[in-house]
Amino acid sequence: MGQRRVVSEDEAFELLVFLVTSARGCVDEPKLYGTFRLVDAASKLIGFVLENHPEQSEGFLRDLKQEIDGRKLSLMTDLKEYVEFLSDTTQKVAQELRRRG
Amino acid sequence: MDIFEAIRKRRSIRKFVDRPIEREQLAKILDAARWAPTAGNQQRWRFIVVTSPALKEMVRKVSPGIFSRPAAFVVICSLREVEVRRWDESLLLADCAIAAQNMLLAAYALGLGSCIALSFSKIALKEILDIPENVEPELIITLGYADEQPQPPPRLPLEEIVFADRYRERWEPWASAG
Repeated sequence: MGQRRVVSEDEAFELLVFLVTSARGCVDEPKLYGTFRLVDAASKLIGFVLENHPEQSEGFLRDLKQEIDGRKLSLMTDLKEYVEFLSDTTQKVAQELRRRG
Repeated sequence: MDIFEAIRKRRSIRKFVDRPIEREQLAKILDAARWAPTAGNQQRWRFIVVTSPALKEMVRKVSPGIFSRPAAFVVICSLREVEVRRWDESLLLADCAIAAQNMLLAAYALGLGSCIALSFSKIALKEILDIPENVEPELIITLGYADEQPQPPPRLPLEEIVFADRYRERWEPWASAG
């Protein structure tokens, strides 16, 4: 808890490009794509952090990334499951927030 | 390969193995695009094949809808007049989409995976790939050797999407004539 988590400048820039291009894309794309971009950005951020901090590999972040990557594509096939996935993920983040105090 | 087999078994591939595609295969795929139907035989499409590692990374980064690192990207562009009328817009998009489908089926027949992406930044792509003002990137095709075998997604039955003579009149796929 409270340790400094860093991403490299290249990784930060890649995420920045993703966020900015996604923001423009959201103007034209279906509304739900915006939600997808946000959780996908979260997954990318976790991926970069884990790359620099492999000791986190068994922790909350690793599990969260697996959850996101494993369920995010349900947007294309099962809307109900996709919304459940977003709800579950939100709950897990909230539980972790509470645990961390 | 039987055309119906290709149509039924092709899947959108979003995971690729790190293996390049032979130039000959790319040429076959692009030739399939060249022979797609095009309104008035205008052929106002242009294709940018991106295989250099540095440019591929840039294309990937400005394409939020692309989750993979394919062996190649093909950017399908339309060649536009200064003012595009709505009718023209539809024709250009239809031509690019039909060419895309030819490419996907050709890729499948060659043992390659592919996917169509529309979620990319046109502004950024034009900047990165030196695309002129009157040329519009419409679709990106990802190509490579598949690293997954997705299950077929659910599809609506024919009875639900096809009508007989008039909208909402039930059409029976296998009804005998007379």
